[in-house]
Amino acid sequence: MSAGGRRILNGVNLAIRPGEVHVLMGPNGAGKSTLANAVMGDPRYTVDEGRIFFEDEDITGEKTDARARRGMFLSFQAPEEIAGISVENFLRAAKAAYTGQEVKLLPFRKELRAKMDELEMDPSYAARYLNVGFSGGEKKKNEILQMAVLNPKLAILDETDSGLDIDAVKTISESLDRYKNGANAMLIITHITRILQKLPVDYVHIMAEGRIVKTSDASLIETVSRDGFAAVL
Amino acid sequence: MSQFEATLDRMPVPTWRWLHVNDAGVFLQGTDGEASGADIRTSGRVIIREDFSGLKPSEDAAAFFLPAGMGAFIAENANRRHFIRIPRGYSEPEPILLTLRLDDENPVLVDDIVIEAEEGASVTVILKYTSESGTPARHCGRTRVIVRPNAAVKLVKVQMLDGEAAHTDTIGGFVEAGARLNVILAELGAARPLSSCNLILAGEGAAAGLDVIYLGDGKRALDLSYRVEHRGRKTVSGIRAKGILMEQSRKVFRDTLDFKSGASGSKGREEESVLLLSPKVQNVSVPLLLCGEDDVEGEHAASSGRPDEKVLFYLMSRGIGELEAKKLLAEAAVSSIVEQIPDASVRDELLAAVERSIEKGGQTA
Amino acid sequence: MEKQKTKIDDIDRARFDFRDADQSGYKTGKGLTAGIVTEISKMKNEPAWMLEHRLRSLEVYDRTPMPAWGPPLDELSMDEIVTYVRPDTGLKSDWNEVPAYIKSTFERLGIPKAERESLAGVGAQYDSEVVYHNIRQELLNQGVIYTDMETAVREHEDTVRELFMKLVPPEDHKFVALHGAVWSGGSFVYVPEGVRLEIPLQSYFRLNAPGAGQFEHTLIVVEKGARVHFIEGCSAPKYNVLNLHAGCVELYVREGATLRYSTIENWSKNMMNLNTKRALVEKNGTIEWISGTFGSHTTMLYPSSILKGEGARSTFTGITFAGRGQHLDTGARVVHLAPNTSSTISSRSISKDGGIAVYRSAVSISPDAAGAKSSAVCESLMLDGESRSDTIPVMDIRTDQADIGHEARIGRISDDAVFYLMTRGLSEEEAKAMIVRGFVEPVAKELPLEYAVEMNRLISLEMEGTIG
Repeated sequence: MSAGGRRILNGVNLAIRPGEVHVLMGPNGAGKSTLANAVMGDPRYTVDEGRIFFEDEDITGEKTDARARRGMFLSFQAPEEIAGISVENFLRAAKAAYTGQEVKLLPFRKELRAKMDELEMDPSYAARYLNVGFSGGEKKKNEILQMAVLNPKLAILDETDSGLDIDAVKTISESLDRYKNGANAMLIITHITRILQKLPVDYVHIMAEGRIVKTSDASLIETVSRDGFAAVL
Repeated sequence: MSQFEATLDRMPVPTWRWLHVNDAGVFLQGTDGEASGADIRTSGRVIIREDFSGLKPSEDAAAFFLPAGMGAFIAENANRRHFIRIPRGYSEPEPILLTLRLDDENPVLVDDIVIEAEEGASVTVILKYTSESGTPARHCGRTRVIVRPNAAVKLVKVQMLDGEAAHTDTIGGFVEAGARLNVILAELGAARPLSSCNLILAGEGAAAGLDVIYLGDGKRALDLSYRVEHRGRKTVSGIRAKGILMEQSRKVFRDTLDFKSGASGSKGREEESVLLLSPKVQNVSVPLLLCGEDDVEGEHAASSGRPDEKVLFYLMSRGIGELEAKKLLAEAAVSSIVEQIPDASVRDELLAAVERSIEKGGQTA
Repeated sequence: MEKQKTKIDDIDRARFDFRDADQSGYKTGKGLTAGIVTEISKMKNEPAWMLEHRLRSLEVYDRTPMPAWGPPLDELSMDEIVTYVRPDTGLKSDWNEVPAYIKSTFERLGIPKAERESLAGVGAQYDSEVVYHNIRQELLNQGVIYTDMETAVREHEDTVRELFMKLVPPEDHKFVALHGAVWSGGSFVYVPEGVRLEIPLQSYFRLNAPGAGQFEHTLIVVEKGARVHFIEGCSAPKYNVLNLHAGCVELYVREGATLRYSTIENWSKNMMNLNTKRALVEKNGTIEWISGTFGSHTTMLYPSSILKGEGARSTFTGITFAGRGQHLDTGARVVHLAPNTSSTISSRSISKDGGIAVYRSAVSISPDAAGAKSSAVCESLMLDGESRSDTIPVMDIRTDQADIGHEARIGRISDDAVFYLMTRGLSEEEAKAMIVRGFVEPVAKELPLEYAVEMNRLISLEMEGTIG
């Protein structure tokens, strides 16, 4: 995988099955965000070798929105601010795109309100412009709100816990727990791991210099927390 | 003595006539003899000649502001010509300083200067213009700069002519790939300074900065027009102007960022702020932004007003008189630009001129 | 330049013709003559002073040159205009001749059938008599006058005579002079002291008069402490065979009054829209301009506010969308003549497919305007590298006691923003349209809901590129 002529990812093999929770960790610059963005079809990155499959279908050549509509979701590290569109209107449009069906205003508003309450978000945020003027933590919560509304099959979370205070991490963690079931899957990129408190983790991958260097089970988290990445690289 | 008279187009794109910003009249007189009072301080391997074969029309950025006849008039009537060439790869360590003095014996100066920095070269050239009070000084100047790939030129032009002098000045800059041109301009004197600068960022990655300080006192009427043309990809520019207007002076300041189609990835910024120190001034600003390319970032901001009352109060509460406080604020306004002039004596002279001006004209009505 | 010269010569010749023989100009129908102008006045049953005004305007028109700046006006054929100005020539065209894209736009925008025909200048005039009737009673109860301009000239002669084309005199520019000579249709609104109208008045409530949409004149007076919102136009394309619109709007906002003047213009793509709008605002009065310019081939439109009284205010919120083949030169003018006056300008433009959007403004602060405040923000969104976006603002400040600011930005739709929206399932086109709608949101939110909805639909259509 390269961008602008520079090779960034160099050998990533990853298989995620329904019901699984994968964690991706690694030092800065390892390529974790790049992987997440590339999987979503960020046009900045080209795949030089290899393929991406979703539910047994080759999506390597598909555009981002097509991938999203298949049920893939990426919670961004630094979500874009889009002026002039309210959170509510945006989510309604996204849900309509996801489901392929019209979304009626009033029932949706109720649903949105309920999900916002679960995330302990101030209801006034529904009318605010998408991410405009939101603090880092509010932006992250907004990403998770979107995830809750769209209910994707695969949720990729890019450093969702960075910049959040302890309460927010707890709230989001609970939200992820509610989301998780036997039919969907998560790939969580994280530094801090507090977000994992309630989630049963199936696999932990360590990524460095553009490739996955180690895969193991949840115990790897503790090892890394205690001894640092050097211990496992 | 030959003469030249014309109405110059001062706006890249004209607008409502009744705003009186579209054009300005110019009247030039030729010279009879040698211009005296010029010092040239330089060292090293820079070549300074008094003749040159002329510029390729495509590299003559000054032509944008000069109607055809005027360029020829300057070429024919110049009584001071300099061609300064900096050889390939050579970096001139000390600024080259040209001091041009107009006095009773030689009150008329038409100077035509070309500066060419060859590939990878770098230089700073400072041109300083002064005249005696009472001298019927007339100055018409043209400075053209060519910056070859990866070279860097800093051009400083400080005009401190007497308040009655006539002054028309045009600068053209042509910047090739990876090269950089910084122009610092101070227009402090003359009765009706007509000052123009056109910088063309021709090659990929070319960069230009234009910093202007101008001062209005007495009945001075300044007519200023500055332009940067983004032609190459990934070119970068910044225009910054700081003005101080006092007494019954007036000014028309136009700055233009022109992004041509194909200049993708380019960024340009223009910013003007004016300090008004008396109620009878006329302050006209025309910040133009012309764009034919979508993949660019262009922005400009213009603002003007009196010194902040709260700031004045704070200074005065520390025992500083009102006039003194205004001097401080004016200096603060121009200091960020003055700092960039790499010659202490020129900086000092400039600041002293600003101070003198404010002492004379900075009284409130 | 040559083409324009020829047209001026033609018109001069016509005037010469008239002096030779009264009838000749009338017969040939070429060139605008005093005979034609007189005929118009007669058909409208106008008082003598209005005929005089028309003839004087004609003289001014003849001697005024075309503007020396702005978009090219070569496509304007002044000769043809005359044929349509004559009152005995039906302006209406055949529904079959209305271009297909206009008809399909009506459909996409959900315009009712009866309205479509009226907007296309075809057949039966759109008769919203029922709707209008209900509103009309309510207005009468409050002493509000809302009639067409011709009626006002006859029935409210004193008021109209005092004000008509005093704020925008024929000397202003050539097309105002033309307007002064051949104006037809338009609205007269008078809101008495202290009356605050809750419902907006909409210009196409009234029955269309022949010639409406070409040279209509709107005159609104809002008396002390009163308040009204007037909406002109709609987002449906207005089709006219005659391709010139030279309207004139004069607004008088008295002490402490508030007038909101909203316009969505979507002239058909053959139109030259050269419109002049001006407001005179007295002490503590407020004028709010809301302006959406979408259609036309060429537009020159600069709503102007003259802040005459102390504390007078002007706000301008505008959006201009220049698509393929369009050259839209729009902006605003504000003149601060009194202390503590304030103005804001918020202008956004979008250019696409080679369209040209120009923002042109003039903010003047007189020496008497101590304490004046003015701020302008201009944002331009370019959707591709073939289009153009130019900003030509002028600030002329003649006092040191004013706070003036101006900012402008040019940019494109950020790739990151598009990617973000696409990751939520929106297609690339949908994502861009959403961003553009977000960009125009500040104008949309100032409009009554149904207009905002229409405007958004219009934008979606423009983004698809299916119009014209």
